[in-house]
Amino acid sequence: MRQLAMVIDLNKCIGCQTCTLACKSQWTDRGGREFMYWNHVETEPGKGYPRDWKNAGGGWEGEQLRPGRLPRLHEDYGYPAEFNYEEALFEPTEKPLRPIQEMQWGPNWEEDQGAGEFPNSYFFYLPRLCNHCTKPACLAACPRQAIYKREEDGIVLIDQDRCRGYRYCVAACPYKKIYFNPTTGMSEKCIFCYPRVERGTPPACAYQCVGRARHVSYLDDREGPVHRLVNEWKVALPLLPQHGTQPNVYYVPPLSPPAFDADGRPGDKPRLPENYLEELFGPGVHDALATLEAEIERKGRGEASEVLDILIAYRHGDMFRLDRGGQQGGQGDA
Amino acid sequence: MLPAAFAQDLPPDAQALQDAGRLSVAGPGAPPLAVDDPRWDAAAAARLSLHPQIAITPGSEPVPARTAELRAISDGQSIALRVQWQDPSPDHSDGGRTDHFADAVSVQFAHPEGDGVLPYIGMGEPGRPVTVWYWQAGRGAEHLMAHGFGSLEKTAGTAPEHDARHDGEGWTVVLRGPLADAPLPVALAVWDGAANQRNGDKRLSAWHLVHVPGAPVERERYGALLAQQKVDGDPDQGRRLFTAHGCIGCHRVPGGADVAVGPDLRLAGAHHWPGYLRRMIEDPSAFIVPGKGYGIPGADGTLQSLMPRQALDAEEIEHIIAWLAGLGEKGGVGK
Amino acid sequence: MDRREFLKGTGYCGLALMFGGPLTALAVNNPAQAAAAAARGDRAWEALYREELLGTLGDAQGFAFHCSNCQGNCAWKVYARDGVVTREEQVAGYPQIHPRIPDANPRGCNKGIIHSKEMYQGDRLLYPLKRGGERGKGQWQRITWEQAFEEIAEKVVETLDEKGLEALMVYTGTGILSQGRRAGPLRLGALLGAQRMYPASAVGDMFTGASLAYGVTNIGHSLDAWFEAKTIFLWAMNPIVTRIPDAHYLTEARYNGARIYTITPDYNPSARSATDWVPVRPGTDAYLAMSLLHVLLRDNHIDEAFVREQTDLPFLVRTDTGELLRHRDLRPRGRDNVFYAWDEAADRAVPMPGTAGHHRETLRLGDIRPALGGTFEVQGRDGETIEVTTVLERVRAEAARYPPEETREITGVHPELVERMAADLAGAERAIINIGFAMHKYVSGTMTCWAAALACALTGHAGDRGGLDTENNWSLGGLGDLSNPKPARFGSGFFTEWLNGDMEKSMRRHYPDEHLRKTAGYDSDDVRRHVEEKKALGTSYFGRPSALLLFADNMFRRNKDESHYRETMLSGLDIFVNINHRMDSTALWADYVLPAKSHYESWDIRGELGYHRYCNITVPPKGLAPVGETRSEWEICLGLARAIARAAKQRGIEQIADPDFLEQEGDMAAPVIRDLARLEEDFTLGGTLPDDEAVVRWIMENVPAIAPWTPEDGAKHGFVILNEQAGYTSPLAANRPYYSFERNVYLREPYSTESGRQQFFVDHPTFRKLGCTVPTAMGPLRPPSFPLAFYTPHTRHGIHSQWRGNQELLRLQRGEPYIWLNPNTAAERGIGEDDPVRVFNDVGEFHCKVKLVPGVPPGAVVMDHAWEPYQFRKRLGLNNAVAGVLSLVELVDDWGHLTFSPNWDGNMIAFETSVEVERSDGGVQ
Repeated sequence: MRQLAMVIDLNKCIGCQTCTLACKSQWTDRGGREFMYWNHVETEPGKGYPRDWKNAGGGWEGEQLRPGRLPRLHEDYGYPAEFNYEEALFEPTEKPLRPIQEMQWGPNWEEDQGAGEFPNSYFFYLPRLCNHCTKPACLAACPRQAIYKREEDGIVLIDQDRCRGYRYCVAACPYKKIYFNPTTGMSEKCIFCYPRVERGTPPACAYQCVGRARHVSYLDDREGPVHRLVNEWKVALPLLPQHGTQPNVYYVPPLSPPAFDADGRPGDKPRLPENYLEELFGPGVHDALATLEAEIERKGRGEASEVLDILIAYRHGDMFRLDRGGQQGGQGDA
Repeated sequence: MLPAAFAQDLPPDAQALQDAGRLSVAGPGAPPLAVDDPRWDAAAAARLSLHPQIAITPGSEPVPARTAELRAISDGQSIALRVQWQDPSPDHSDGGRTDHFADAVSVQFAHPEGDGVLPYIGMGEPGRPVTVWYWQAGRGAEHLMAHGFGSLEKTAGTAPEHDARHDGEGWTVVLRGPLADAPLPVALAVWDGAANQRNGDKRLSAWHLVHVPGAPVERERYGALLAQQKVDGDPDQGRRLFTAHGCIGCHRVPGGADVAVGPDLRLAGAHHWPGYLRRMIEDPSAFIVPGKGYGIPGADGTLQSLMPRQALDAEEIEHIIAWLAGLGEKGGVGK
Repeated sequence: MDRREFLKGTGYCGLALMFGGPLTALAVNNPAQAAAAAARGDRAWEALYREELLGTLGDAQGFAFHCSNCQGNCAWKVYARDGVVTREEQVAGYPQIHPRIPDANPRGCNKGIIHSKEMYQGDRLLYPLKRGGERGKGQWQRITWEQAFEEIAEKVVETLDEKGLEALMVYTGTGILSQGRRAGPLRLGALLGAQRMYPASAVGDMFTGASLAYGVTNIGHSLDAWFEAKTIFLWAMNPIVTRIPDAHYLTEARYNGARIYTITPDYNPSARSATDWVPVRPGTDAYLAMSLLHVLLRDNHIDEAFVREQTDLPFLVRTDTGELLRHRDLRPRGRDNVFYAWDEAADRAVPMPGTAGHHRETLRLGDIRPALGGTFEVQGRDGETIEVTTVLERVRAEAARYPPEETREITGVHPELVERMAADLAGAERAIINIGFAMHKYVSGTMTCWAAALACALTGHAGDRGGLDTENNWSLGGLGDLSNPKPARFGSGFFTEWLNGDMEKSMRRHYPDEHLRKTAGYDSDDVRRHVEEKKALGTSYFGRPSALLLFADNMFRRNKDESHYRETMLSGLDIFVNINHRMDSTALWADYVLPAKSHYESWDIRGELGYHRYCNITVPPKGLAPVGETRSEWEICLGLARAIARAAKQRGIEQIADPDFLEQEGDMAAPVIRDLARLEEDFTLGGTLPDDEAVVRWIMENVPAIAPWTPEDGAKHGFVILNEQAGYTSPLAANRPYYSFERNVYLREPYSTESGRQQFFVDHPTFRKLGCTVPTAMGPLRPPSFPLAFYTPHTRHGIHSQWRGNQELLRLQRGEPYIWLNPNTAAERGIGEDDPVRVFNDVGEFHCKVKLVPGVPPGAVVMDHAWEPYQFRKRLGLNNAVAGVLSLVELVDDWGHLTFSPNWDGNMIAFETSVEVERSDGGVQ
């Protein structure tokens, strides 16, 4: 099986939500999917989206599935608010423009909040989508074998002819990136834009990422950015690898400006605590950050750095290699 | 008791099945759709025990059984089935909620053509498919086919007409469709949305026969059914044999360990006719519930059951069946 | 080993007995199933999502950009099906300019990407509306375009006739900044002689600090230059949020080894993307800037050759008067605008070439070697001895007052950080100081910006060595005949708004005079006096209008002391027409609301005010169905022109002479004629400009910077590439980033200042009175009567109020306005996360929710600006609690390059107000 995979560079993600909306307008602005964000960006640290997903169970414990919770529409995902435009703007009223039903949560509820004490507060943006795992807990949990991994690209799909909306997959996914569609009564999730990929166009979230933070290529394509960043340079790591699903979305961990000491002097410790980053990205995060810092220093001295040149991505098209022949990809027209 | 007018329809084997509580007779006439149609009062009521499905994961917790009342009215062309069961909280699927499950009921119809063998109660089996009329609160009714757990599919068949009412204590649901889609053996399942029930997490009856007066009667079939109903062994010996032959190492039974290599048998008697148990012991690979890891590919590529044929003679098998057939009989899961 | 393998080949029953327990909660399916399922043949269902993709791609494709007051200017593909826009996607086809510079793809952000939702959203204006009841009461009647045009024209002609031309204001706000759509209202207003304000000043986006230094308010580089810089200061700027399409050049610059300092009070997204965050306390930036100069001068980080030639730092200053030494000081009937330096070679004062009054229009010094320091004596025109010193000496003396160890108490910035900033600025081959639009929202912003310009000058950062950036500015040229066929009454923005809205009241209420004198060096009466003087000049204010045609402007949202501004403004208006694509907080109060097309619906072009070299074209998808009865601005202005001509004829006033403007007729100067009867012909240039497509074609054919591209090229690609003539102070080279002032630095052309150089000494009496003849520290002004500093930076979820009410974006926020508070500041007041609060002071109040943000400094209230007032309880927006104070420096007029023009106007001061916050148990409804 080949595996199409993604690297998201958290130093280039600017939290702008363009990916979120690229995905939404491509797939989830209709048909009961309105509340879904197959791709979203949340601010870390935080409860995230759906609310408290990190404590909602799922994933593997050895060869066993860990039980998981089903997120609630209003409280955990956030209801897709409709607004009283007509009443507020075209009728005699003093009422403000508001969600008709008050919002309790949303995919970006904690935007720019983070943690820590001023002036040593910290945060970063974490874009999340289905990880198209090598060992998907969702697939294992589906009693109907409605979930499968495509031989040609490893994309994990929920067969919409077979799904009966039982939501074992929702509970089993440790990332909570499967959504139950109350309108169709079936579960849906990120499809890695396979209809675009099949036409030679990268997934909307990646291709339309204005921060140029996302690379897409086959994991075994040695010329591709994903292989080089993940396997050669080891600067891209899976999120919460301890869940055992072997994700195929990898993250370049975030750098941060130094924290200030008690006297207000900038120190030499990054303000993002390293143990916190290790919880998210595993023990490889220390080496990954050290590699980045060393390479940036080289660049600063005017020396060459292959890994930074990949991350810089001089041409947008260089970030994507979709065709299996391993030739230049990603310039296709959707 | 059968209404005398129709008793003549029934072959003697059928009468025996009725005596065993495994058969009821549909009322005659145009099948009504409304749950409160007065004609339902005249139709005979069968009371079916619905035990939690605990044999296969994902399944139910060993919750208490519920009773459903089943009435049928058929004119020989189409049939209406009315199911009533207790469920004080009506749970609908149309609230747009993601963490919530709806109450539902299904009527599963077997197609015991050919050898007249009843399919596996859990959604049939390959070669012995079942038709399912499925109704979910808030979503309506579907016509489905299946040949084993996990194989349910929408089919070209027309969805049954439906009517439903919740009266504060429970549901009354009528499903009506062509009789061709409704051969006689039926099984009921209900799901309680409030308990997050869906899929194999449900309460389930054993196969039950609905006799439609005036419908063609095949004596052979009733004979075959009767044979699947009969059991002639000693439960106590059966229990000993079950342990002695190591079955208890893989199947959970009352008093046994918490194992799940094979299906949980604590409610074997509540869901299975003896004939099914006999078939499985004699030839474990004849049917393997797919996708649960009960089978491994054999040399020829076909799936072979993890359970070997046991060195048991016919008499010993009957003892084990007699013991298993009693499990869950009292309406609960034994310790 | 998985379970299946374990069982294989064992007497499994017995073993399973031993391992029975742990197997209970076994996976429903095992991993082997993955392979089995992957190999499945039945994948016909996958057609489902393929068809959905085709659905979004539609049956027609056009191009567009989003031309509100965002300078991103990004080319998009717009897909439509059955006449309805289905989706938009970035063109992502801009060519790379050089292999070592990352390309500009894909330009476009979260706002652009949902514009198709905005286009059909519930706040969209669909039909011409006329108010039924009182203004602002929401009683609307739908009327026809003909009725609207006729009634409006009647009133406009009546106003022109009875109250004069200046009584009509035709103002196009920053909701449209594209050259195509903006042309219509500009042209109509100019033909009518209507007054219009300067938008950059009206919204408070002037960089007066840059104007002082360069005579140009908007200078800088194309944003791809970030990638080449080794030191970058992002000062009062948050480009990760506000420059989304170009933010990657910053993150990529960091990977390229740049040191990036983000200088902001809160730990904002740009701070988190930087190598260093400089947590300056709100409004104290000028002290930090002066400390930066202090260190640069102390450590002699001075590029002497640059300073001698390119700056006024060697210019001589009289020690007696504190004024620059001028030609008139030395010669009878000498000139005012010829200045001197001390020539070390000749040991005497010499007039410097390139100053405004000097006959040699070059910066070349020839044999002159200007002294940078020292005290000298020159002989005055009456033979007296005048002691002079250099500007640099003055600068040194001023900077000496601000050692970083001392300013730390004010700014909160550790001296080590200042030292490092200075060293990195001086040491970098290429350094850039970006000044954000937030800077001049403080009165001290002018000084901070000027000091930052000085820091760049000392270290020689100009031309392709970088330098100050106040948002780069192309100069397309060639548009005058389209947008200004006759002279319009072009007025100051901030000044007009302040007067029209009677903001003096709130200034006097909020700032006790004693406090103002202490922090700013002037008081309310000084402001009043300077206002009257500036008014008397008659060059930048035309009085409060009585008829207002307002295009794409949200003045009742934008202005300070919000409700009072609105009431004052409305009280003088006989007719208020609002032309807009959506119902905004200003349109709510109009007499007539005319529904305009928005970004995808008519031909348009945008090449000006960009961060890049690409000029984008809007070509609507074929067959696009009109949204309601909307019309483009051009179509609306044409309708108005036609109706005004008709009404004028009926009234018998076919022409109005406008003696305020003269045009040459033979040997005579004659008043400009406002030819109302010919308005339609004039508007359409004799019928050659009937519609938006014709306008775009005209622009492409007449703007030199667009050559050789044709409209067909634009329609094919969605963009064309500007040529080198687009550059303003430098040519725009095809294969490298753009930097300012190359003409000055390399060709030695004088700057547009009085000194002809980068200027750091201004001896206007106001500057002398305020002690700011050279850059100095001042502020903050906020009064202590309320304890919290209130500032309102730009949001990522809107361009000002545009898209602020967008459903998709509100779902990515919290659906309603909120302030940001430090958790400790909130806790002291018993306020918790998401609580409703009342924000108040002696100006007014508003209600909203609270978001606890640890990166916000204690003692501050931060709010994403530009929520629509109608999103607040009782529709009282955030500017109800902001006072309308002015900067005295920005009121200076009629002095050298500090004379009202697009390069010299002032700002609405937005961040100098204090507030208090309390829990609001009345909620936010």
